[in-house]
Amino acid sequence: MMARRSIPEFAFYERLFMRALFAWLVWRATPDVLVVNGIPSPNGVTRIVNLHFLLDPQFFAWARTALAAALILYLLRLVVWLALPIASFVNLAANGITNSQGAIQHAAQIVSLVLLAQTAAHFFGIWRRRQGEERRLLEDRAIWWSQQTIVAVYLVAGITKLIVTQGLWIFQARWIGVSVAKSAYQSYYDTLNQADLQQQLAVANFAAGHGWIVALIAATGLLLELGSPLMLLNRTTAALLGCLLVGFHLSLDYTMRLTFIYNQWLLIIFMINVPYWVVTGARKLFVPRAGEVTSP
Amino acid sequence: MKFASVLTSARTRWRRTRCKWLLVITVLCLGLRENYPFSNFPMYSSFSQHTYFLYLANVAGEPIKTRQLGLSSSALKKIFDRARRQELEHFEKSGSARVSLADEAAAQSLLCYLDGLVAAQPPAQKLLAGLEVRHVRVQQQADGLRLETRTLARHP
Repeated sequence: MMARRSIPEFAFYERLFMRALFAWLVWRATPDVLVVNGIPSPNGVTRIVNLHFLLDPQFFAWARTALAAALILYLLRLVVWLALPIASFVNLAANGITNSQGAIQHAAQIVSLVLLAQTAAHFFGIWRRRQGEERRLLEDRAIWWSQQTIVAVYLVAGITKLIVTQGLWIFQARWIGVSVAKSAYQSYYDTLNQADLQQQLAVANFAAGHGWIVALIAATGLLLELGSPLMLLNRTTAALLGCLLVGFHLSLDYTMRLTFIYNQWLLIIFMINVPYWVVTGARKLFVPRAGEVTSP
Repeated sequence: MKFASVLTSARTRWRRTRCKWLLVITVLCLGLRENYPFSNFPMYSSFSQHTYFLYLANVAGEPIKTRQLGLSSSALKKIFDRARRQELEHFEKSGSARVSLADEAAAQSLLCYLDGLVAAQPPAQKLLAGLEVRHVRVQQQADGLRLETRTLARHP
């Protein structure tokens, strides 16, 4: 029996696809401008580093330019040891400031965590290479740690639900209609666009009247979160659970306007891994197997 | 002796595990809680029969788009919540009036925050005169959802 590899191996085209889409995602997940009122409630990175200099619009524009340059270098795999820390700093600093307004948002957090994981994996890999590790593992480890980070986000969310409710989250979920209504009105007051309000309120009223059906659906979501480590078993479980989690996000988007678009993209990039399945499928269809007759 | 063998066994298991980073990041997120970029992701981690949201109304009493001020209604509520927690401590000895006093003081803090936020956005500044912070309580009752609205503060 063959020993299982400690780090999964990825083909060149998979790595390129992941790098390109992840660079684009980091760019999207970093604010274009900082519309903030100083740093009134420092959180996370802003507690450690004084980031007031980034509140100067001109300085922030330079930081965005540095980020663009770093992401291009990252995509081309050039001076990655410099590109990743620069990208991490700009992304973490900008999002750290927006999260220091007294209101913590969780949309871009997962992107910052994956970026941090890739930076840590890269420097750990450099250290391991000095001890004789293969060069290819440098990037494969970055992907492997990215996958583990995505799983950790779901796992932590599931564990927190159990801790906060002392295991009773599913029973409390019958009151989810109240939260759906709150989200519906909050979305409405953002833009005063009535388009989705009635549909969302209908969902909220249905949830309020059918608590146990809703609790059952919520239980599925919690199971998906707690079962997310199964995504690390192999490519098939990663793709299957990745698709289920994207479906879960789409249903949350429909009912509660909780998009979590970056979570969805990260699942598509690192878990579902479309290029692998396209290439594998194409090979099975078009490349003749050994011993097969190819021409009459 | 027994402790030493447990330690050795744990060390061996740690070396064998393929998912060390998963364990590290899970422990960091749960331990550091809300410290960007780490988080224990507490959103929707519990539900109750009632909740609330806020919206802003202009001098004529009509709701305004929260995004016009450069933030979302969700962020508006979180900023209010944070101020409210502080005010609840501040009014600890105020008896039955504690909650309403804390709500009103938090709404005033929110208006002060909005003042600072729009300082660099001249078009948004004119929205502030007479701006009201309205609190809507959403409650689940046997016959469905019930909403109660009250005004917490008004901008001078």
